Amino acid sequence: MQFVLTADADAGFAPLDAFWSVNNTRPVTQTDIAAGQLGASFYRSDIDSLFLLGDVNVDTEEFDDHVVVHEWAHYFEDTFSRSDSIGGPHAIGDQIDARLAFGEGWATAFAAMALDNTLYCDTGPAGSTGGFGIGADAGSYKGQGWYDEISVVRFLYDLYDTTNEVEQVDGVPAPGTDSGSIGWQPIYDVMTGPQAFTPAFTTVFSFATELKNTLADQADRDLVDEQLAREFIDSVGLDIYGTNETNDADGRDVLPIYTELTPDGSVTSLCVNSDFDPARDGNKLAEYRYLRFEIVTAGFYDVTVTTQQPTIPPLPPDDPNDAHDQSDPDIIVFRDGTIVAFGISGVANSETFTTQNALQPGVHVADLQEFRFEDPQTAAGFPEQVCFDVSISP
Amino acid sequence: MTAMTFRATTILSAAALMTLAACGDGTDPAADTADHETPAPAASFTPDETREIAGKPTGPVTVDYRVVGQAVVGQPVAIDLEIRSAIGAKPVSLNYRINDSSAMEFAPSQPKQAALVFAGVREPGTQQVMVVPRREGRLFLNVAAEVETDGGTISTVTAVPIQVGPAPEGAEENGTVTTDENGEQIRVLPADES
Repeated sequence: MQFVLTADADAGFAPLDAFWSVNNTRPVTQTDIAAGQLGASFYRSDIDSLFLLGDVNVDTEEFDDHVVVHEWAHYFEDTFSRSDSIGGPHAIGDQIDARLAFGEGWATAFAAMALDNTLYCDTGPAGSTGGFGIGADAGSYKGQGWYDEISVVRFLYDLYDTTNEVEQVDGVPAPGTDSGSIGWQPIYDVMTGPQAFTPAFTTVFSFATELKNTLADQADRDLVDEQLAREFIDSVGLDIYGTNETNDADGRDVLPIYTELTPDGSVTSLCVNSDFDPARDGNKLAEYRYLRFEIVTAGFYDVTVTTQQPTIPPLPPDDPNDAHDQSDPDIIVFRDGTIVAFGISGVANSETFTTQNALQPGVHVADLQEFRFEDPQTAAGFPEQVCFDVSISP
Repeated sequence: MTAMTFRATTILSAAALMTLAACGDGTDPAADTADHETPAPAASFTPDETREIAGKPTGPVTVDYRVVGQAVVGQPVAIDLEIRSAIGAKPVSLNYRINDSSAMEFAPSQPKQAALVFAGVREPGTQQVMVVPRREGRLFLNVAAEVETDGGTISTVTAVPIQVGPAPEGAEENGTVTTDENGEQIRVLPADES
């Protein structure tokens, strides 16, 4: 809180409940907060509460100050800024949804800034020598880019810190290494200002674009570009939608980050896949596709999503007794971060609905997913890639 | 009631608010065309409350486990491990440890270490560990997984709980409960700076 107050002495803090107990444990089959069966330490925005593990045999957080502040940073994001993160499990090295990557990278970077310590450390069970650390200003693990939470950590922390590192690659300084600092104030101002109201999803693109818009000094803007470049995030033509991004993580169905729709009934085809999600977490890269469209005339719109047939490989045979063997597209429409319409029925192979409220003129974004990629009961043989036809019409 | 995710709950809450807004002062365009409103559809999200929750990151190696059969005092019991790495095909070193040897020990032929090489990105590595419980209760096998990365060595530890017999699961107490200068009950935790 003191760190926040250095940027805004008048900052007001919304109530937060923090729960730690020796009974808060991790290995659970079903989350039960009342019983302390948490699965992990986490922050929940719907109940403004932060939960920390304390089971000495499993995992404790009472001395893991970075873990505590990481979770507090989610509270900050929720109450001072905005997070469109879809949550869910995430491990170092995962290629994850861009919204999740920014939220998690933000939280880890904030912990390093607030604690003035670059090493995020999460100790293991008592008596074990394990645990792991994340260096906020050094090291990478795999696949840097806009979908990598560690890339977001390094991007944010190296913008903040006054310790400048020049990394060597094959004996020569690497391009885009840490050669300056913008400090905490601009980061705070963007998080509490334009990032909270962006019409795009909250990702590194929305943050970096808005940050550059607020920086008066060209050298500072160049520093932002250099930090992005080091993390293999395109800075040329940077905008809040990542329109010109070319890093596709060597995957399919990754780019463009937003697919443009025309809300006149035109059909747009696009695919999702679970190539980056062997554990079926449902929150990895390419499992959600982002859509963008502009409403000119206010009104109710019909949204139709149809699974293309046949898929390759084909869907399993439709067993009437198995509700998990066919495609289940889901789509949610947002305006400036607020849900304005959604289709999340369990109807097989399609999602058709009229927006629950009149859409107002302006830019809207939507996310489209195949629910079977996160459904623990998905039938064996379900394809790893599914394609849809999407249309929005007045 | 069918459980649903926080995300689904949020969506349905938003739907409820939208409906309320439509019943407002008439300035909301939705109010003029309320007959277009559709009821909130049944959610299709999985009953997994960990989704949509902002949690801490885990190490790049995850260990899932399954205790094979019922653990009984004095009888060997097998634990199947399924190991996944988020950083590709780099080999993973596993170290097994039991903190309280009076509670449980390894079966005589059980190695304390193993090295894993992954066959493919989507294929988890598997191992089986044999232990012998020496008392009832909730006992733990610690599995440390270590992998070399460009950012250095990362070690993650998973505590595998093994319930032996009908003894209650009761968590082991950490620290001591005392009273602070304001009369508030507090727990003093041990910190080992060594």
